Amino acid sequence: MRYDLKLALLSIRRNPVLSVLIIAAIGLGIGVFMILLTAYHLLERNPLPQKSEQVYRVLVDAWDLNGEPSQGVWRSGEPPYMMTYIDAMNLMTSDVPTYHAAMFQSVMYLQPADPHPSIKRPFRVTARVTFSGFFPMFDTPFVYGGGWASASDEGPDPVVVISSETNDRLFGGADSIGNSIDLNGTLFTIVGVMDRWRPTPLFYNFMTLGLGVSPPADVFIPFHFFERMQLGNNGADMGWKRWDPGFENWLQSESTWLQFWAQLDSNEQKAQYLDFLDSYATEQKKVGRFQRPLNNRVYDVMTWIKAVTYPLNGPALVFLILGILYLFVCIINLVGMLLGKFLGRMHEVSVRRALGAPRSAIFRQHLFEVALLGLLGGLLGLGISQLVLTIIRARFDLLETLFSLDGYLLGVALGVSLLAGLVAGLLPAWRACSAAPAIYLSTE
Amino acid sequence: MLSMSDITKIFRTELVETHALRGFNLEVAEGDFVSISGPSGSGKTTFLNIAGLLETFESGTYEMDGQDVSKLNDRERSHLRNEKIGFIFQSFNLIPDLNLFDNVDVPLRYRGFNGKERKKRIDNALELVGLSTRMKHLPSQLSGGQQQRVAIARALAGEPRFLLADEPTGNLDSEMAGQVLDLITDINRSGTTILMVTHEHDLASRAQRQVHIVDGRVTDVTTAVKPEN
Repeated sequence: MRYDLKLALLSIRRNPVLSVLIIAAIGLGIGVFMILLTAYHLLERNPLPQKSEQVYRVLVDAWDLNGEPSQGVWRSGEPPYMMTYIDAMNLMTSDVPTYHAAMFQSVMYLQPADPHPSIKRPFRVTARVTFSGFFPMFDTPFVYGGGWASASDEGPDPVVVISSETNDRLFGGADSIGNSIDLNGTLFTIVGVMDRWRPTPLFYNFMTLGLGVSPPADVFIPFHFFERMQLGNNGADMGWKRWDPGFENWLQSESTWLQFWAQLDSNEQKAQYLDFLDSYATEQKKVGRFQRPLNNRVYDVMTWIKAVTYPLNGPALVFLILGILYLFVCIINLVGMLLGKFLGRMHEVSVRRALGAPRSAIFRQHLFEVALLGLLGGLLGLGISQLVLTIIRARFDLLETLFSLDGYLLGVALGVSLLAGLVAGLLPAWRACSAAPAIYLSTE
Repeated sequence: MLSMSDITKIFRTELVETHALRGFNLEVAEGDFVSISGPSGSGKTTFLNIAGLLETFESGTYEMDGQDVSKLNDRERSHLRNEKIGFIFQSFNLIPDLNLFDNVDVPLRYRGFNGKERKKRIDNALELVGLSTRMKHLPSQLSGGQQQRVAIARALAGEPRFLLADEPTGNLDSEMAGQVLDLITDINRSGTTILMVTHEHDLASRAQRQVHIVDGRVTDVTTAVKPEN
């Protein structure tokens, strides 16, 4: 092994330009492949690894008998992916889940409550309008303070959680708990400053997967301010039944637009909650709603992500296949270069054969060399992909944990580069060891 | 100890067949010094390659120490070559980017000796050819005669039974050729069997037995009186 390593290093040193070209070919192939694999991997990422199997998207089938919810990614036979206001408010009365929260995204205008040295005019912010259960259910990190108490949901109390980016902008990153901000003309007291948080994919939303490019929201306010302030929904809104114009009519409509999540810590709790949903649906049937057969579901985080990201997986898969094809092209080039490199030293191989080296030893020696070249190429490829990913992260202000090479991807990179080197090296190594030594010895 | 009987070797291309050896017969006993001479294309090098298990042959039998080598697979042939045969080539065939120590080390590596044993053998072999002080030099830093002496050291390090030499002085001037030939003669005197291909009559006359080949056949065998040690 040490002798093979010594010979491999000697061979690299003997032909540095060709060796560098080979390493570069592997490096480029691996680099491009890893960037595309990282992007693909992002879509399969678990954004809530510590409890993704306890947190569920809740779906109830409030659609009409004949139509089908055409919600883009909707798959036949499934309930609509969002929920009506009526159903969401009714489900919020359940005491089965450990935590639960209806939510949606809105747009508000924020203005510092006190004179600010640079912000003179209100600016547009994204607001997540939700319940107190949102924060403990999703384990949101905080720099200062925390989420609001459940009692504040009912008031509702004018409390707000702001993102660290908003806190940086308004308060220069200082502890702003107890300060107030003006949102759409109402003063809200800051109770929590969220730490930099990029759930990726942004699983709790519908279709807006986020991919960690921006904060999930700039501010978070108690849900019931939505009715008081008549906030608009800045997301999808789909229904099967027309309603008369007006805010109140919209609330009472069959339009689905709210996301609903619940934390169910055990199978018993889950079964109990599904019973609750079925009972609720049965009750609704009695009052003329829920015309379809019982079809209530809860999807854990990863099942939900697969359900809503599968249309994105197609293009991502295409890119991944392109990456594999590029790697394949690199391997083909590599075969040519390795053939040139190995056949160029047939004299030495023949001398070794004459001195007693069996074919297997020559084959092993050459495979060892390509494995080493493959690993060096893999390291170069990792460097290239790391550099490109760093540029992408800096360009889009992504968290370091996102769009980065984790242990799995590092393992894949080194494994693939080793495999690519070995695959490319099989034919050249075989040619090198199977040539008749006498020819090269006598012609030298 | 080395017996070739009715050996035939044909090189084939799409257009032509070349009979390199035709019914070649040769018996070599332990400790012999045999020279093989003949005109260009007579089959001298082909004979040496077959003797050294670097080439296969079409028909006939070749036994080394009573063992039929035609039935051996690559690993067994390589093992036999490594253990029993040493090669000396006209163009030395040293590996240019290995120093003398590492060049001599090559056959010992495939023999599976441990580091201590290899070092001992390399030191002895280089000492024998008078180059023990230059073991860290590269071949390119040596004269042609010195390079051939390294090749001899490499061939001897494994203590082979046979030394196969293909025009060992062909690339050397007369003074160096004399030194190398003296060394080969000394090696033979110490008991190693030598088969030397040469087209030079003076060199061939150093051997106890001179075999002349024409068109792949042995045409003449001259046996000299063995010199006194």
